[in-house]
Amino acid sequence: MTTTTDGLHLICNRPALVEALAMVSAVVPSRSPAPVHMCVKLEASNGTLTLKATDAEIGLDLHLPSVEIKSEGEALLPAEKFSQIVRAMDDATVKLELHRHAATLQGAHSTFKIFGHDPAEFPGTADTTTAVPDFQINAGQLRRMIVRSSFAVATDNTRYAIVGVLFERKGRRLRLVATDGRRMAMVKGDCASPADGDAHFIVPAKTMGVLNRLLDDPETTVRVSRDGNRVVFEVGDSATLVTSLVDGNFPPFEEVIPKDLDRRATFDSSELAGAIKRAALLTNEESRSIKFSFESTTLTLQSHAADMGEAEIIVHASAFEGEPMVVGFMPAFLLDVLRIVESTEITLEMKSSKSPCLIKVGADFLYVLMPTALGS
Amino acid sequence: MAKRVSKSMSGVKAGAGESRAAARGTQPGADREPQAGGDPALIARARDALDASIIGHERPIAALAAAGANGTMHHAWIFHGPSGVGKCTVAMRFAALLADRATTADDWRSFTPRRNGDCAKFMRLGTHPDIRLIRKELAATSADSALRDRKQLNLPVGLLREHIIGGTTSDGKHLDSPAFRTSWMGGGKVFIIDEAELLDAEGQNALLKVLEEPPPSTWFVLVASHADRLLPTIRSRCQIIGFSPLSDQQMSQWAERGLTGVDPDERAWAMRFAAGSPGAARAAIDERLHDWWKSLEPHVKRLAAGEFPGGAAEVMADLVSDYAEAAVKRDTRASKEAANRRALAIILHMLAEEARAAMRRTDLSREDIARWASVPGVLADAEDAVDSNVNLKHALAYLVSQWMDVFDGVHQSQGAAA
Repeated sequence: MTTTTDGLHLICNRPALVEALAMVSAVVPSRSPAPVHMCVKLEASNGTLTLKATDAEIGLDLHLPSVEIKSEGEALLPAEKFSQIVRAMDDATVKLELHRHAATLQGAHSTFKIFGHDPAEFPGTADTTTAVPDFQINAGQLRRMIVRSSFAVATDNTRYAIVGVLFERKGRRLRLVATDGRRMAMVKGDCASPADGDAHFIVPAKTMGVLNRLLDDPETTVRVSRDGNRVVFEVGDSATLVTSLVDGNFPPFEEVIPKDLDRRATFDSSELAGAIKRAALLTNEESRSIKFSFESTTLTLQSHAADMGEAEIIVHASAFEGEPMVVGFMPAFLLDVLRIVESTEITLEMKSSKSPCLIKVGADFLYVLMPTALGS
Repeated sequence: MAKRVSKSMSGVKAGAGESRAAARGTQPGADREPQAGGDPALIARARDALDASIIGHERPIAALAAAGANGTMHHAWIFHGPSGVGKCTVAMRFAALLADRATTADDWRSFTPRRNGDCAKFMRLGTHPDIRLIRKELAATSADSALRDRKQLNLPVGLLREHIIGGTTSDGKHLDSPAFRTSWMGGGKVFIIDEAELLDAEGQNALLKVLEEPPPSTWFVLVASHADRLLPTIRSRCQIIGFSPLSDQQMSQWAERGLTGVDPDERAWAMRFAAGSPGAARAAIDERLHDWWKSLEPHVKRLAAGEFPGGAAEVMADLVSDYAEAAVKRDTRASKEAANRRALAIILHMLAEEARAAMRRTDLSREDIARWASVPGVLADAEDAVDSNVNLKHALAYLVSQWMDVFDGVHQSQGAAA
């Protein structure tokens, strides 16, 4: 084995290292036939410590600038044990030294030695030198778009193309779309420095979760690039996330957006959410939907669970247009959207008890929800 | 009967990777050598596939090479043939060609992947992100505790969910489908399922959809010793390609390279035991199976002479038990049940080979040949009994008694012949 990594010697702020390890651990699988996939790679050079992890589908590089590097080098250490040790230490700083792939972690009154692997065996994460820039976007905006779309991603894996979020860029206009076949969330936004032409790709749900965690600073710029079959998200100078994509064709989502809706009901978001939560208390696995009866500015919610009981909740709409109607919805699907909207008011647009309901929040978010069949 | 015989001989090949992985011990202390970080089974197979020449299998290789060079590659294949003959090695080389985006038509024609470059590098390290070798032993490293607790005797649908098709695990976790991810390195994605006949019916049915509508640039190779145990619906979606045992000449050629430094007697015995299977010959040497035979041979001779072989079942049971205990001691993740089955398969294979050798003899009477011809059925019955959870010692005692029934009266017939 090589001894090239010997010499790595650094002193690091322990809370910062704990936070960074928690972040990269989101990528590291808990178990794998290849031990290196359960490892985090440390690269110390040019005054920066980079933590790298990959599960062969996502790769994450995290840069820590506040590190005193006494000697540059690399190490490949088991992520879970390394993370546990650093979390358990009670020192402000931790000293890390490497000898023959074994790392010594030293605090004021504690010393740990953990055995690692040859860093040359690490499969690698992102190579931004070969990636082709596609667009840039503000981190705060991207996070808002992720929150407003990824909750609707399918968790049922029988429809492979919808287990991720569609990124669709046309010029400067960016849309993120997610669906599970029973509801669809679409959020629009603007991006900067777009490449020529359009782009679309489906980012897996797990990647969306990791990316969301990297977008803490809303002022940071996120650079999005294509690297062959992969997409690279560079979050300022602090992190680089590379991901494989969902290999499939996203369904033609625009066809699902209902038109010619003649009923509109507007509610206070928190009042409606509260009423749905109360009505949902008397639903169960057999009767999971709630009956929504719209009449003038009164909405009556009725739920019924065999052997448990039934509920009737009345909510006042701030506005209602159209004929009275009765429709069934899954409460969880409405609560999901009410949880993420920042607006105080929400408008439900409908046509009939069998056609989809459209919820618009501002000009950049819409949510399509399929009604459920109502029992007799 | 032929089917039953082959069943008793299945699984006798070098446990590439796993046995080497198991051999890795933990060496506490500052001077501990770093362990390989990749998947040990992939490392072993990749080195065989990339760095050694493949002996034999000219026809299957020609078919694969032609499909690759012509750009008419089918997306799903079944490689079937006896255990240990090199199906998985060919599958790995095939995977190397498919996964490397720099593979040319000439590479296909020569069926030789590039030996440098990132694809070969990560294959040798056992960390290639686009080549997956699914095998029953992966249950030991599953994220699903229910899978980890299994005995590693079959390929449950949970392993397919984790490594190919995605879905919901027994503990309710949602898994993405690795098959429906774009390749990491830009070439093809290849999923090799070793011992595919061990897929249960649920697993085979779950695999149908991805075989029916595969994602682009994704290939599946089902390696099977008993392709007849795969559902017709699986077989109809795959190109089936047969592998044969190596000829004596090919085995000798392989042994020149694969069995260097081995005692000549042991080597000769291993070559007879292997019956055209380099994997079985390698296993015979690595696991010192000649010593097993030395302890079994006197009992087999007594059985063949129609005499009561006192302690034969106990000797076999002890061999199985010692083997399983050693396997678990070497690698705590190994399944004792799987090691038991493997040791039993080795013993049954030895007895089957003895029967086969006897049937080739020209000095035996018609009655004696008929007796030896009944032995494979006796062995298959014993294996079936163990499969049905009959206690191993009882199954082996039953084997001995059945064998004695078959050879009952052999004294008289030999006397009459004399």
